[in-house]
This record gives sequence, C-alpha cells and structure tokens, in this order.
Amino acid sequence: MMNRLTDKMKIRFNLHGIQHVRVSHVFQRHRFPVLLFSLPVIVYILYVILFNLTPALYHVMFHVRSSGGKDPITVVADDQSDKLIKVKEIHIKNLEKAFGKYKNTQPYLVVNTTENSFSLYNRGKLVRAGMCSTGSYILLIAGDEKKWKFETPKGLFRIQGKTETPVWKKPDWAFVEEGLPVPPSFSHLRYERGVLGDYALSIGDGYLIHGTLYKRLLGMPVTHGCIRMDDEDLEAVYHLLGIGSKVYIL
Amino acid sequence: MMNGLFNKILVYFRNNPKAYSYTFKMLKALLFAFAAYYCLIIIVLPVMNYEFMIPDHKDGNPERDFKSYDLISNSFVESSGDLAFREAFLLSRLETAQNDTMAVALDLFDSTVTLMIQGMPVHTIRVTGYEVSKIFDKIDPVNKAYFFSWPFRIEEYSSSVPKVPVIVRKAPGDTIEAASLPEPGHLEENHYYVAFQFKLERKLSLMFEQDSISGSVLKKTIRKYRYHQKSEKKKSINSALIRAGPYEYLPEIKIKLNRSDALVLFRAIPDNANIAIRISPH
Repeated sequence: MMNRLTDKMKIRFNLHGIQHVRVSHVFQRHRFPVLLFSLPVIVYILYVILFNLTPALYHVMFHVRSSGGKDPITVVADDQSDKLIKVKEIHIKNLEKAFGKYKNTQPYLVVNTTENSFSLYNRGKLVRAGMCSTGSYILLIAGDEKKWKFETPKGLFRIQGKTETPVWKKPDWAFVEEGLPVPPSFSHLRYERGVLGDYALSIGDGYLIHGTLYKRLLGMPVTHGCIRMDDEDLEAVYHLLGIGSKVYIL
Repeated sequence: MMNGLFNKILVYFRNNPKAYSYTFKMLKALLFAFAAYYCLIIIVLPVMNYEFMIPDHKDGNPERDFKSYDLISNSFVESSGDLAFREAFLLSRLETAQNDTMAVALDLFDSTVTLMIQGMPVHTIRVTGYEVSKIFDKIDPVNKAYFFSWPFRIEEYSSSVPKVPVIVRKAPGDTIEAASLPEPGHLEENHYYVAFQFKLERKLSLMFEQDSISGSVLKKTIRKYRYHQKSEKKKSINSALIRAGPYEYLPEIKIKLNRSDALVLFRAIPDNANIAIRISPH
C-alpha cells in the first residue's frame, strides 16, 4: 500500500524544501465513480452557494430597460429649465392645495388599536392623548357553533349618537361568556346601569366609545370591540366631538 | 445493488481510459453549465428584462397635469433637485386619497411613514434606516419620478407576526368555569420579532423590519421568519430552473422601524392598501 502511494505521489520542491504534496492522483482511477455518485451532493452544494450569492449578484447586475420602449417623456432643450422650474413650482403648490382639502380642521379622534391609545385633535392640534382599551381579538365559540369575534373595526367612522348616563343592553355573547343562559331579548336581565361610565358615543354597528369600571385594564386589548376610556378622557371626547365628527381607528 | 453497479462502472473505466477521461471532462463541464444556467435564468435574464412598469396615463386620474411631465428632461430633473420627485409623490398621495381605505405614504426623503385615511394623515412613524436596491440608480431620473408618481397596491404579504392575533376560546359551560378563565389583555406577542414584506403591483418588494433585536426577542421567531422567506425564494428559483422560464426579480426597498411602530403599521394596513413612495432622486 505504501509503495503504491509513493509511486503515485507528486512531490514538488522549492528552495525551502517540500512545498506541496498531492495525493489525489493515488485515487485517480476511483475518482470518476466517486464523482458520479457524489454528483447530486456537489450540484446541491453548488446550488446552495449560488442561492446565497444571488442577492450579491443582483447588486452587481443592474442593467435596466425603462418603460418597455414606450417612453412618454419628451426631452426638451435645457435653456427652458428656468421656465420649467416655475411651472413645476406652481403645479406643486396646486397639488398641495388640492391635498389640503383632505385635512380635517374639525375636532376628531384617532384610536390606535395596537398600542391601545387615543389622540384627540381640534383644528389640527393635539388637545388630549392617553390610554384606552380596544378589542381583545378573542374568538368566542359557543357550543351551538355560534361565533363572536371581539375586534375593534378599523377605518373612518363618524359619531352617530351621544348619550349621557348610558344603560348597557347586554347582547347574547355577554351571557355566553359568563356561562349563563341567554335570556329573551326583552328580559330585564339584559339591562345594566353604570358599567358604561357617564357617557357613550356611538360610531355605528353597535360599537361605542364609553367609560369603564376596569381602569387598571386601560392600555390593554380587553374589550368586545368597543373603545373604553378613562372618565376624564371620555368627558373631554364627549364634549369636543359632535354628531358627525370623525373617528379614525387604526 | 449499488455496490455492484459501482464495481461495474469501475471495471468499465479501468478498461477504457479514454472513455474515463472523456466522461470526467463532461461531468466537469456539466457542473460549469449548471452554474452558468443558474446565473442566466435567475440573475442575468431577470435583471436584463426588468422593466419599470409605468401605467398608461390615459387610464389615470384626469386631474393629473401630464403636460408638465411631457415637457421635462433628464437634465432638468437632475438640475431641479427634488422638485420632480416631490411632485410625483404628491400626485401619488392624491391618488391614494381617492380611496376610502387606509393608505400609506412612505417618504424616504423625510424618513417618515404616514398612515392616511381618505387623504388625512392620522399617524406618522419615523424611519430609522432604509436600503434601496441599486437597480433604481440605473433608471433615468424622469422615468424614476414618473414610476413613483402612481401609488402601488399591495398584492401579497408575508410576516413574522399574525395580522390579526386571534385567541380562540370555547364558551364556558357554567359560571364556575367562566370564573376560572384567564383575563383577556395579554396577547403574549412581546417576544415576537416584527418583520413583514409586501409584494407590490408593478414588480416591487417593500420590506419592513424592527430596527433592533433586544434580548427578549425570541430567536426562533427570527429564524422561523427568515426560513420562511428563504424557502419561498427557493421555491420560485427552483420552479424557474425547472421550467427554464424567467425568474421574477423584484427590486427591494427595506425599511427599519421601531418595533412598536412596525407592529402598528402592519396591523393598520389593509390587505390591498395603496402605498405612495418617495425615494431620494440620487
């Protein structure tokens, strides 16, 4: 075995002595079958290398064609630049004006359901900010396959109604959640006083902005879709927002 | 059986040294060919054929002042600084304001992301860092401004956190069971790594990531998300390699945000929201 190895070894020398010993020739005869059987592995390794190099290669290759040959832009002489800058500035002013009409100068409320916070604005200025509670994202499944998702809706809403010392008419889920039998819709068991605080503002579809008895839970997603606020914050919101005022929920 | 086959091949090539050397060369060539094929299908052709898709202006908003665009030149856009890009961004934002749903205005010039509902800015987030594909440097400035003068609609998204963190709960059978249930209020997602990616129409990819990874972030949530991203990419690369068809290259805009801001943004954006983007002219 040793003789065979020495025969096939290629030993290179330089001034300092042995530099490099190649033993691969020993296995030359067996190299092809080895390569053949390990080909899938080699291809896979190559693939992984290329896959990981792909983002870097994209940075190197960035030749681009623009707009599919249909260039809608006409190129003009540069001496018109001053004129064009003025045209552009006027156009930008007009666009900003057009954009200004979307800004709300009336009082409005912004509710952030992720952070469970609110901001109250009047004439575009922040007048009050604080914590609130919004939907808990609980999907309650009753035995008879009834489902309720306690999520605060997102988007633009308007105040549709305002009530002082509101009375809560408990919906079916309030009983199901407590493990109680659901009473008929006209039952006195459905009416509860004091739980909604001093004020309630309706934003439609049964969703309210109201007070709470559970002040320690403010800032957490715990409600059934309504927006709960602290008493003082609720009072400020109630007095500033009128019917039709905008409520932005995000 | 494999051993037998191996031996047969071995014997065959011992007896035919020419065939051995020829086949060995062929195999080496095959590996090179594979590397070349990969580069051609996945890198060269997709980038060469990438087109900045600009919508036909006749289908756009009639209020757009196209005359001002028809007059400008590349040298003008370069000399006028940010003017054309400001105009493009305003046009794009105005377009998003026409819709009732929530929209996003991403201003990389000012490093802000603004959430808008019917054109009204309701929440502004600070961008802590961003990266833009170098491919944008190669498009001429006029076309670049023109490309960004339309908003981009979200086509698909993927994320490391659920869009709606639903907690499924079975209704309790009686009051005793109800009393034993845990209080709501803890979504238990404080340890999630927040990252999400939007595939936008007109071939653009917009990625958002939390800017720092604190010790409380579960490393497995990062690994899981990155693994998912990689496996999705691998799938499309593999399918392009198999069918020898063009791979879909998407230029990327990567945005870094504060973790809580990133979560607010992700949860607030509707699935098919419009995004207006303003990138730096240079």
